[in-house]
Amino acid sequence: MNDISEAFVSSLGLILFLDAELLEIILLSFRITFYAVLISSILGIPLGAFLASTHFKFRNSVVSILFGMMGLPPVVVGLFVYLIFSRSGSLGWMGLLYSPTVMIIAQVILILPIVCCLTFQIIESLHTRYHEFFRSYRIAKLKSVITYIVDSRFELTTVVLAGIGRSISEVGAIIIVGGNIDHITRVMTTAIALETSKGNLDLALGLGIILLATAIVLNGFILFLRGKYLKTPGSTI
Amino acid sequence: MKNILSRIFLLSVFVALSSSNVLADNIIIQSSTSLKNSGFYRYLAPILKQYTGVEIRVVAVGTGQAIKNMKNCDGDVLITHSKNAELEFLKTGYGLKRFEFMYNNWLIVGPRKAKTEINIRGNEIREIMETIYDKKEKFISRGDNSGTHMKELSLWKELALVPEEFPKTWYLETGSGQGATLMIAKELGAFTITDTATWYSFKNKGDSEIVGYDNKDLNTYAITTVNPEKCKNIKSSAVEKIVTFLKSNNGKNTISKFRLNNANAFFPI
Repeated sequence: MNDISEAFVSSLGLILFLDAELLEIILLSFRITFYAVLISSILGIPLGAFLASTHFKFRNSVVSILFGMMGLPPVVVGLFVYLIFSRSGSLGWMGLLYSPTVMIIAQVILILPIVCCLTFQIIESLHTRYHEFFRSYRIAKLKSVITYIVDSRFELTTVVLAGIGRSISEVGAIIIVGGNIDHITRVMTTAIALETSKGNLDLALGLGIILLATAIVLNGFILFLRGKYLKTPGSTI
Repeated sequence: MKNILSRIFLLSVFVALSSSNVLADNIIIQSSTSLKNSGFYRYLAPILKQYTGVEIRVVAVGTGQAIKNMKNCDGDVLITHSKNAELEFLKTGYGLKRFEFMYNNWLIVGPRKAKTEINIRGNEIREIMETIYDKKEKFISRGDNSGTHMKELSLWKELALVPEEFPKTWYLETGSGQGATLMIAKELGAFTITDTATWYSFKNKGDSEIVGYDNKDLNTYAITTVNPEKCKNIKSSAVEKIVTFLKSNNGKNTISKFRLNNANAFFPI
């Protein structure tokens, strides 16, 4: 109990006396999450929409594999990316190991299946309702996929939020490929892991509270923007 | 309204993304965890930067893993504390030179009641470990191939005991880092091995305390350079500067001035 109350005090202290170092850690967390979710969404939403509205031979196998990949263990992904980007690995010549870039790559592997599968579920139900209509008007495949995405854009914000949630709280993969290097690859979750291993439980929990608070603010902001668009008439793209 | 909001959002994203790092002369150290957890690198980094111009980036993963990473050429230099593993690394041709540059002491920590209720006598680490074995008291092993784990195994070996044969009722392997292991030992009222710097800097001791010391061997930290013929990306000249500094009088002074708990955490060699 003592530790928990101390954690609140120390997190309050951390927020009030926001120092450059903590700010750097928080900004790096945001930066990695932003790029990982952006890339995953750019790739995952169209892919999910395409899979949901197309029937081809191995579609069900592809979809099953993607759904299975939603449960990829982060540590395994971390190891996999490490082995590829290690100096002795196939992409080692790029010298990307222990950099924020490789952390983003690892997170894209983790988040892409989530974005893809959730998009699939949303658009599949649209597709069952509208595909007869689209077919009768002879609307091109590409155009119907785009229409599905544009039409379900509000539902898709939930998909993006799920991606953000996974990304910002993830530690297993990025601590392996990033190395938790001070000022270079230390983010909120890896800082929490480090403070825990030093026995600074109150500081670790304090950082955890800040992580939760920033996640809530970020989600609130996106939901707020979504609400704005929902209410404004005639704002369809 | 919505345009303003989205502009503010885009602007804040831009600000968040535009913080970039200027690339200085920097090297990656593959290191044992204890040096990072004790805050030693945090203390050392600005001093090294000032005297050598080299910026250090530390990946702290435990001696065994550090050596493995170094064999993949993922770093520029190795700082670890397991002589046998380091000599082995030299033998494989990856290591070039090994310099011992500082030391501290090995400790065994355990529950406060160790001396009274459990009746552990003496303060020599081997003697205590033998008693633990006889009494089947709970002992936590790192089990992660780290420097501390290798030390523990060599101590059992000196006692002619084989940990693989110990029943899992009292000999528990955590397979995790030093911090997690100390925490588990505290919670279970068990014994475990650590070093002075780690122990002084660990903040969650609870009922654990120092039960004994290794009076025979020191916990020696060595810096091992890597053969540029095996790893072409090694920044040898920057590494050379670090080694020269750590072996200089100035470097030795720097090491002895790092104190934890009003005591020296490390002693220069």
